[in-house]
Amino acid sequence: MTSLVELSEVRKAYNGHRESVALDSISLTIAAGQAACVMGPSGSGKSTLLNVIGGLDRPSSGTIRVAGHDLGKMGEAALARFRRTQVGIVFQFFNLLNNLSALENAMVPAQLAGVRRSEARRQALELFERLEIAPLRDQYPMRMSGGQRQRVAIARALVNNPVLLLADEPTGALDSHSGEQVMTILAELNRNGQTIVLVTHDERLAHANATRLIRLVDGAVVSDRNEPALGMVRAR
Amino acid sequence: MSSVLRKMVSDVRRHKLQTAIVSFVVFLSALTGTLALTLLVETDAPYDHAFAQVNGAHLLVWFESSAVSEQQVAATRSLPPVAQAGGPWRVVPASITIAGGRVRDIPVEGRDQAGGAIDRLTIDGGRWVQSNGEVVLSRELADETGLGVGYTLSPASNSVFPSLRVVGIAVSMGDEAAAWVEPGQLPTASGATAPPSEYLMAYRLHNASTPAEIASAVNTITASVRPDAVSGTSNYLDAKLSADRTTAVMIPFLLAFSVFALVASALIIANLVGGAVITGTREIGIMKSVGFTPAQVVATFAGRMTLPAVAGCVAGLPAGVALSQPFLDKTAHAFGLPRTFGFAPGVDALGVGAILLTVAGAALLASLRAGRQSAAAAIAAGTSPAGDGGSLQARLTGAIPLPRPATLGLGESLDRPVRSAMTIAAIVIGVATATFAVGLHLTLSEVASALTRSQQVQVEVDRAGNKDNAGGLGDDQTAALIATQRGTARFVSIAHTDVSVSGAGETVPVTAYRGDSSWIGYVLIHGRWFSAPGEAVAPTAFFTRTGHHIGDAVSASFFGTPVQFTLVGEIFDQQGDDILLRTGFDSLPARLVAGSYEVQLKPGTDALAWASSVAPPGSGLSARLNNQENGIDTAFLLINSVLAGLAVVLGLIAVSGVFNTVVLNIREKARDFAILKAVGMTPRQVVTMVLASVSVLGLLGAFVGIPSGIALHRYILTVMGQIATSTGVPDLFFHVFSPTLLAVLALAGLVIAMLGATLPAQWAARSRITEVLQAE
Repeated sequence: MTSLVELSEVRKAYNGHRESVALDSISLTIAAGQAACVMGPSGSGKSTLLNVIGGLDRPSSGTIRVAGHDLGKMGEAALARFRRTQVGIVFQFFNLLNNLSALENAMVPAQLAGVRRSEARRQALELFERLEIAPLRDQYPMRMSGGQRQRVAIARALVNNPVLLLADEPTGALDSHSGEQVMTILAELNRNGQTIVLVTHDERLAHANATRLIRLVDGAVVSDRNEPALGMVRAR
Repeated sequence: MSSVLRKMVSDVRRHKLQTAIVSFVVFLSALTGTLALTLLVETDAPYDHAFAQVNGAHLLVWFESSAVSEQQVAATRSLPPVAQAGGPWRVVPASITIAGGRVRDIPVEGRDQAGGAIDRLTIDGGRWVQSNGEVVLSRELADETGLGVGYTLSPASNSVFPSLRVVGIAVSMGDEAAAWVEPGQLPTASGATAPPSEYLMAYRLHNASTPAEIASAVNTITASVRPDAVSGTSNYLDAKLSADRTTAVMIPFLLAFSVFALVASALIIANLVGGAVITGTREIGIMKSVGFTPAQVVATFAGRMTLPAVAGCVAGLPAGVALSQPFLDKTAHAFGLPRTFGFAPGVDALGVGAILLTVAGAALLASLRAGRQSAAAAIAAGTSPAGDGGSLQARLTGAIPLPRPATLGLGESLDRPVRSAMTIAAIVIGVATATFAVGLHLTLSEVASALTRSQQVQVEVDRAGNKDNAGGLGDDQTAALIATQRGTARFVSIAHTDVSVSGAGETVPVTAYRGDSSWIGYVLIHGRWFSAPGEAVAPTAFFTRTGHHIGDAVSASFFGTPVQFTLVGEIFDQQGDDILLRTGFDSLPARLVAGSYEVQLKPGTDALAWASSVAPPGSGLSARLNNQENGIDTAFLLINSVLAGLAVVLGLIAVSGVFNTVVLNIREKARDFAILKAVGMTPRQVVTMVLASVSVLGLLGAFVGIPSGIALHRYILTVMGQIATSTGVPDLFFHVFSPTLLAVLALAGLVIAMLGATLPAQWAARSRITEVLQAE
């Protein structure tokens, strides 16, 4: 089994009046194909962990390698290209651009990567079909439901075929029905080989869908074990 | 300290960038406004100001020392028209050697002090003479010869003066002398070897407001001495007329620029303050939720804008006054007037007050709207992401085959229509100013070229001043000499005479040409150059004064002999009052004798060598090189430098307007930028997106600004021509905007937009994704 994500002694601290440690010397690896679920109480460092894995933030110390890329050695432009091609990120509050249609939102990462407009459109439409949101392609985000928006966000995250999908509380802003639907989509993606790192504080969803559970408390890993998932398949 | 004041002060400290932008824009506005208004007021009557400062003489009279004694001259002080008098000072001609070994005759005055009751001289550099062997030069002579303090004024071989050390530079309002020495330095006034000399008297008269009153005083003074004793007079009205006419040229564009500066400043300030209130809407909601009343909210926001604005004004006013001083110095220099410190406190304070009022008014209007919202609505409006759909512009630009960051930027350039319109207006003003400044600069170069005609005529040979020289060459001999001289391409012979023309109100000078004169370079406003006997051309003033038109026959009298001219052309001509005629020798019923010659040299001919060869010392001829520099009026240089200064400041204001808009846009769209960066937009792509968004504003600004600048150029030029010299303006002077120049000017809009946007674009590129998205 190949390690897709490798964290070694990763520490993240915020300097205010008093230093606040968000991640405290975390070392872990995530294999390709896993559906790892990061859990923990508020302020435990879940989102920070996801941010440093996704290159959205930099650790204070330690090394992070994702798909062979040492993120610590990358400049801002290289990190942006890494985010564009290697990872897809799904946020709790969708973070879609309100002035672009659903399809245009999904096309953006491909277009930023230099893919021709027509090709980016074809790729995005394919994902819309898979995610059953094709009729929404010309809708604007503010006129869509939360579940629909999150599916558009998933399409955007997948448009460049990333090796790693990061999802930060993807059901946190959704009703339970929409949340179930989104989790089903993620489980389906994982069954098809997509590596996923998911942050949630919903025990039920985590146990139902993850192949691995990582618990954080005060920035440190307090437990890390494989789970018999119902929805997602075990790592091959 | 009240809670409102405490909040106001704390906000000013907390919002450092906003405070800095408000201060800077207001500083630039106050600077430009003060600069323009100071120039407007102070250049309105520079002659009057300087005249009052030195208690200038209404009348200067020169007396022949051979015809009148010093005591007799001094006695004229007590004549009835005289209120105050200075002098008598003795003036002696001196021959000096200047650069290139040329000899010049200058009047040197003996004067024991620069000051005095009237006609005080202003020391412009160095000090006044204290002993023999020292000399003070006039500013004009210093400029012409390049001599300065510490240099030596070298006598020519026949000079009555020894070498003199230059110890100072002085400015005299009456142009009474080119240099001043201690009275004891002058050679004695009597005796066989005494050089010719004059006594100079400066008078202030009881009544001197009209030429007639001055003429009456001259008559009284002349009558009090021997009839041939008065050798010359000069009065302040002539000098004032000349200075006022030139300064009047500057008034139209200074007015235009003052209005420009104030309008641009008002737009930017309103934009800035309105934007700051919009971005502070959430804060307004929070303030209201903790108990601030709507009035307190409005007062806090208005104060938050006004405090840095006051700081900007406090810095901008003295900066504007200081920046105007070099221009005022140039004005004084251009008119040969003493330098004065110019400051128009009343008008400047009014300008600054208007700026502060604009700031307070804009802040008040913008915060009133927010003040009326409920606390919850204000918090919600300030928190939720803007926009609920795509714009037509975004859809259209999305299809343009450009990189996505560029099309994203293009698509959102007009998202805030009012803000975009105000920014475009500021760019329009910047581009229009640049267009106007460049256009006027090119036109003034054309005017200088047309006035000097240096491209057509390289040397002017004169023999008229040598009529006393018995050995001098005659007209035919001189013409033959020029014709056979190596390097001569062509030349015309010129004679000056007068004719009486009914309706002209005075005798009209006639310049007559022998030979083909169509090439000598006078620019036509209408019609054509004369080509047949009886035809003539004239400047605009002749047509205006006499009521004639092109094609009219003008009846004139040439020393009693009737003569008729057909007017075939209106020319751009700036000699005297422009009431003159130019025609051929064969149009006048007499055999004219040429006194001067205008010569065009073959390409590659050394003009100085040609002139030295034709007019060696003792030949009775003088040759003057016709360089373009000779004809560039110092007023032109002044106008150019004032224009350049104002264009730079207005350009800066436009840049700061763009800067402000981009900062506001980026702050409002921080979430969008963070999202785009999260999904892979590189810092360079962020910069591209921001620059693309302002490029639309820059291009729209150029699209409107260039025609506006060209229209302003045409209008102001026409007004300047009418006010300054009552001349029409040839089409040639308007057509200075070549396609290449227009393309470059179009870039000016883009450059303004890019300069204003680059720094905030880089800030956007460097922003932290997680900080923005977690703050949601």
